[in-house]
Amino acid sequence: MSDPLDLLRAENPVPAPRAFASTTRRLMIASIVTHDPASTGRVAGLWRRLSRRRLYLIAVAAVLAAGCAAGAAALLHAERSGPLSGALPGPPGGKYSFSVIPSLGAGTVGWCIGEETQMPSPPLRELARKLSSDLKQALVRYDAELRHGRLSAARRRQFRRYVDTAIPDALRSLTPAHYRSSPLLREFARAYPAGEGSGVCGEAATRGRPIVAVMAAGGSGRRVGLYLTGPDVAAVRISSTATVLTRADSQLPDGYRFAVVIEPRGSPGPVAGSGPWPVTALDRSGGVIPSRFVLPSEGETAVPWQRQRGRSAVGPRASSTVPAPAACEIDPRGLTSAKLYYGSVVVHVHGSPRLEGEPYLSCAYMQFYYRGYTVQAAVLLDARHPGRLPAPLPDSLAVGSRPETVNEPQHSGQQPITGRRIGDAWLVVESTGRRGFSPLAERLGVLEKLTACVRVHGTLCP
Amino acid sequence: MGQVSQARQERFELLFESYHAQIAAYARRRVPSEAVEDVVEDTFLVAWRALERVPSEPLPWLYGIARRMLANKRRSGRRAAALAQRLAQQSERDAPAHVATGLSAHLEAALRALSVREREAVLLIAWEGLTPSEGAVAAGCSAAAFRVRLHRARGHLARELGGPAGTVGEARLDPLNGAGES
Repeated sequence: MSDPLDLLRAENPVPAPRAFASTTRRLMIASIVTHDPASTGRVAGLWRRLSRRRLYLIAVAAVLAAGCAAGAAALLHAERSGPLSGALPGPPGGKYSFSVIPSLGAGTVGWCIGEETQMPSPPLRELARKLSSDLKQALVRYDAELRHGRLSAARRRQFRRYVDTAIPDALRSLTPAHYRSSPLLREFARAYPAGEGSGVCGEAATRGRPIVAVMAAGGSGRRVGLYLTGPDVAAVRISSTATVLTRADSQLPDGYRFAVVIEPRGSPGPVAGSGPWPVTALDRSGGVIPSRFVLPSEGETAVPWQRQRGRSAVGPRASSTVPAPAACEIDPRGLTSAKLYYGSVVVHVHGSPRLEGEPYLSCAYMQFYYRGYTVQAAVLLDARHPGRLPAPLPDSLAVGSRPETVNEPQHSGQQPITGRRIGDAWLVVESTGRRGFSPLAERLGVLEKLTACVRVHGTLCP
Repeated sequence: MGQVSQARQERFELLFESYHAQIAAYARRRVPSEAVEDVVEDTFLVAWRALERVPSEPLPWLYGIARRMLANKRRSGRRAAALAQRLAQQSERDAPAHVATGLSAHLEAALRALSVREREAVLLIAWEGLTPSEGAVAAGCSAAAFRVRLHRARGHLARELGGPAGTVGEARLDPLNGAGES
């Protein structure tokens, strides 16, 4: 056994100091140096406690003084953002939850948002009655029309759509307790898997792209929208009368902010499949931050490989069965029973200093099957300056007794990520099996046996 | 802004950029993440006001300020809780805020069994990586007093973890120099 201080060192919850994002640092320094060094009074203390909010107040006051009424109105009418997880509007019982994780695909720089919605569950008996009567009615009518030979192709498609949507809609209202209580519902759930969560991946923040990704959760008439923004966005304007302030959260990557918006009354509905409503990004003085279409040029070109031809339906088509020599490589040879599927590697890494916040570049990605789980592994670099220490994984905690290893717990529908520091990069894994996400011990076991090569300056991995 | 105040601000920015990450890490190990920025800002505000008195090795001094900020926050938190819930006054020993979450259960229990001063002594050495001399600056006591406190804390911690005084299992600890001065 060892020195008790060594035990403490091994379980240091924050093994490495982590600098604040540059915007946070600037704000904090600006907030501190405005104080008179000689002042230590109570009033000064109270004023100081306003700290970061005070900067917004100063911005509003300056805007008012300058007579920019429009800009001032934007902030004066601003509402607070909802949290990343909370209650859906409408009848009680509905919940939503958003999460943000790095995009793992090789060559990508950006973030993936996951959402999970839980609607209030009606009593099982009522639900079963509705389910069976709806289905019975549809099937009887279908059957009757078929018997009379009056079932056109269009009518056939209509019924098919009805059955395909009615059942998943009903299943979406069920809770695990419902499934446990009814073998019939379990059968339905298997035949019609009704997802209760979804995800979308976006880019990283850069000039001209202040809003990075959008996502909606909830059902018709009771939706909430998430806007993931860059560091300079103080608020999002969702209509001529409604503006929502952005906020930071430890779940988000360094430097990024978000606004969760409740669906406005009389909203025309989503403008895109997974997006909520069109918005305008505002800076701290209420001015509009220009938004334009920016080609996602900050990523790098990745070369795919594919071990098993039979997996081409789910993986990218690739001519090579092994990774090309590249800047990064993941070596799974320590996992003796792993069955490789496919992956991709970035041959040359350049970096994109104009990116905002502290995003990662995935420079190698691999998917394989191991001990009952499909595992995704990736090597993440600092996207702005590859070769520098990348930011800590958002909201991750050190894994006790394993220095350099951190775990990002599961948030809403997204897989938990576990990562190990390898030089100036993160080697991260996430894995899922038939029964859901793998336990932490499984991911730690995989991380322990995986190795990775990272060479960002010239030479390539063998 | 005049020449002097400009120079003062630049000196402060250098201090902040050099050490804010360590102070943030110190706070993250001890308080919920939403309070970290407040602790860092409060700590550096004191440093801004006392910039002329910043020692040549600022980090232990900054840890000392952050430690007092956390103590103030805990005290005000306890006062609020007492007012709200009319609870009896808690002893410092029972105050949970000083122990970070995420530790293994036995280690967390052992840390909770230490007094606040003992706990801070071992954490300054183990987590902040200070030498006993630097720890003394952060703890606001003499080097000799800190060494005694550290020695007692290690023995206490070892006993709580199931080993004889000064050891956990078979390894024998050097009571004064085990943490090293390096």
